[in-house]
Amino acid sequence: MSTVLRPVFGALLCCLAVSPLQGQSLLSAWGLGLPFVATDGRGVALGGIGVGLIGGELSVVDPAASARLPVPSVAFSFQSSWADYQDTNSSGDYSGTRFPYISLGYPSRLGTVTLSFGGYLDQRWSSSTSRLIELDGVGGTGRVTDNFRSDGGISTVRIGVARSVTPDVDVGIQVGRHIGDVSRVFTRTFDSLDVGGTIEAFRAGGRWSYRGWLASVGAAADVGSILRVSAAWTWAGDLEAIPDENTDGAGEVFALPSELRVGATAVLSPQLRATIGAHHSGWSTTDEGLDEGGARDTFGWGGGVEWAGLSVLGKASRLRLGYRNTPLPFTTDGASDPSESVFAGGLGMDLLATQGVILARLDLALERGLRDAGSFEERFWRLATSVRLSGF
Amino acid sequence: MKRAWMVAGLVSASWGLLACEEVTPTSADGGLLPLEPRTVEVVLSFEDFAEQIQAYEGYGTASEVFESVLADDYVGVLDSRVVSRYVVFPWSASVRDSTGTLRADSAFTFVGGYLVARFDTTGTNLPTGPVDIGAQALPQGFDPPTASWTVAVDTINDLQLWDQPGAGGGVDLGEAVWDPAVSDSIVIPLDSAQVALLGDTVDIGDGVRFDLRTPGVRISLIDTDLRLLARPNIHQDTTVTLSASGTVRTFIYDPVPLPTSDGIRVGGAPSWRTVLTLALPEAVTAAGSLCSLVTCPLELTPERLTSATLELTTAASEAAFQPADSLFLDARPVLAPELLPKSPLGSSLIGGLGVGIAPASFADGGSQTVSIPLTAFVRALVNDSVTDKVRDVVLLTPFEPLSIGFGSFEGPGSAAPPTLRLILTVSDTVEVR
Repeated sequence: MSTVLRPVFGALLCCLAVSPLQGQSLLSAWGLGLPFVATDGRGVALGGIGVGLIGGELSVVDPAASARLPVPSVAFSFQSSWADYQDTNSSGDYSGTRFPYISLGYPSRLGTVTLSFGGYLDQRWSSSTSRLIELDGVGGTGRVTDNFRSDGGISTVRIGVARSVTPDVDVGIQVGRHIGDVSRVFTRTFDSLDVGGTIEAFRAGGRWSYRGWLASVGAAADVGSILRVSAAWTWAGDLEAIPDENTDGAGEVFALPSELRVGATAVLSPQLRATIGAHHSGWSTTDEGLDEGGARDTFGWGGGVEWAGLSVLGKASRLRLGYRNTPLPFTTDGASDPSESVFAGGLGMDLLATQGVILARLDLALERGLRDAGSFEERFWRLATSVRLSGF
Repeated sequence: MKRAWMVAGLVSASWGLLACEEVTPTSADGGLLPLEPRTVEVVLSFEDFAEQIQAYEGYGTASEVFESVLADDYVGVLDSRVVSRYVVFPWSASVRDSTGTLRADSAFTFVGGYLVARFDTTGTNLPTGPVDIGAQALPQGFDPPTASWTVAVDTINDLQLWDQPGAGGGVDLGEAVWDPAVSDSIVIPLDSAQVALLGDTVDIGDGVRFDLRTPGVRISLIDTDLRLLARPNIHQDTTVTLSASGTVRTFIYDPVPLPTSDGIRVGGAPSWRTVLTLALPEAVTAAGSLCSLVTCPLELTPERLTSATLELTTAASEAAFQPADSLFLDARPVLAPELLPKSPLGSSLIGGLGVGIAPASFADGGSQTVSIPLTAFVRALVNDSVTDKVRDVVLLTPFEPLSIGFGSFEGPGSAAPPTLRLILTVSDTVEVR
């Protein structure tokens, strides 16, 4: 590996080791967690749908996108977010960085073979409260601090192949697994002054690992030289949550939804493109497996524009603006249905290109978003960085 | 080209470093807690948690105690004397001859000496003023581990009583005044005849008895030395100071404390231990309104047991045997109760030095409650998957014997009997969703 690449992979390993899927929202506590789309900084800045982009060759959610990948490539992304929330009785802030995806593509005689690992559901959150409880039945009280911590999430690992069936039509297929685990631990600690000595904390909880199959097909077509349309459909099998040997809680099986994503990019001028897309996820199928709250189908949309007439540090660059609005699938008793709306801006730089092939690309996206569910509001800034390297 | 790759690398690396600082999304109002455990406190009376209690004495000997005790009619009861023997007299001395050369001389003559005794000035065993301390050459030998007020030697097939109880008799070696406000030691000079009584290189004597000659006092003796003044054969106008070594020491006292009938006693020299045999109920009932929170009777399970502490109330020890310093209380499982009082014991249930109790807690009016954590022990008792259950727990001092003083606690028949305080937490199972 060249000395130039070492810091890149060093940073990658740092995130993999420290925070493979860090929590970024308190809404991760609802249902199976907070869904997020494993897409790059370009996709984030152009509406977040992740399909139908021109040049989005290593998209995790678009199986056909890599059909025209000219050289072996790797792409990965980081997302750092800073959020604060406000609810009726509490408020707070938090920050975190997560690793949305890494994807590799390798052109072959069959087509482009892809291998990707990306996030799917974020389940990292905690809740803590301190209060007085009656201990002895005759008025004696003690202060306890209750803490619950959920740490983990669900990811996808996919292998796929994509190829062009005609000069204007690409198709792709992926198969993969939902994987991951979650630790859910309740802890009650006692104030030593109130109970007359040090008492070890009461703990209950366990760890579950997740397993499930998924498959995805997609197709993309160029309509003349001014429009590219794309669609991807993902089927997901049942998700098994398997407790480990030290866990008292039961195993569960959750039905995961099928998902349809469609998107299109129109070339408005040689330097200006517009993208729009939508997705539908049948999350209501998951509702039956949830003991708390519920789940509903979601239909989200997003879009953006990209202007390519820019040069930064002497490199061909693009400015992007986008917006998306997405209902969140999981609901909870006594709260309004949650949704997320995000404005985004971004910058893309072709760091190295030769003979029309981009060998190194950097995409940045800055998002300002709001998640709300009645009295609960969560506002966040999020900065996404993605890098694609080719020709290694 | 290199510059472009460098930009990509630096941006990614800086992002990676940023990733190392995380603040988990946390709700502060508790509304997201998936559980609502109920915690209740249950206090079991002695009859409800224990089957029997038994105090045992005789662990260790007074000769193992770091500080020996001197007492004369202390609180009108206690007499205690220290007997010490110096078993290695010097064989040679290094002396310069007339040419200034250092030579070993083994043909020296003892012309005198002195006894040194050092006392503890930091504990509560301190007299209020100067006290007289005397020394006598013992009229007969003794065995430090088995010597007592009436017995000099009590080994296999060898029982020898003192000619007079308390190692009395013998030749007086002199006395000295110890003023704790001035020093921590005394010196008793010896002439050559007195040194001869204590032995010489080839004929070790029987030893020395130290006694306190000021009534109503109890003090702690840390160490004694025998220093010998010798005149060398090769340089007879010189006197050299040599030390006897290999000191063995014990203290003998009278009376010995009476056995306790139903009380709890820990410490002393030899030490006391108290063994409790636990017999826990399968279920307990919470007091007052707490049964509205949990289903009563509440089954005892290891998962529910958050804390178990043995609550003891200190009682006044016999005045002569009240601890002079903090008493530390340990608890250990009795692994083979059928072998008591010599059963092997398990590891400490408390750890460290145990629970420290101030000496004033064992004086009249100093009663206080002491909590002994037994959570792990009780949890194993109520765990059905544990087959070889240990039901007996012994209360003892972590070091035995530590001092002549012992700690007393109210027994089952008293006004403040031992109780077992349980804190139980009842909770549903945490599920994945």
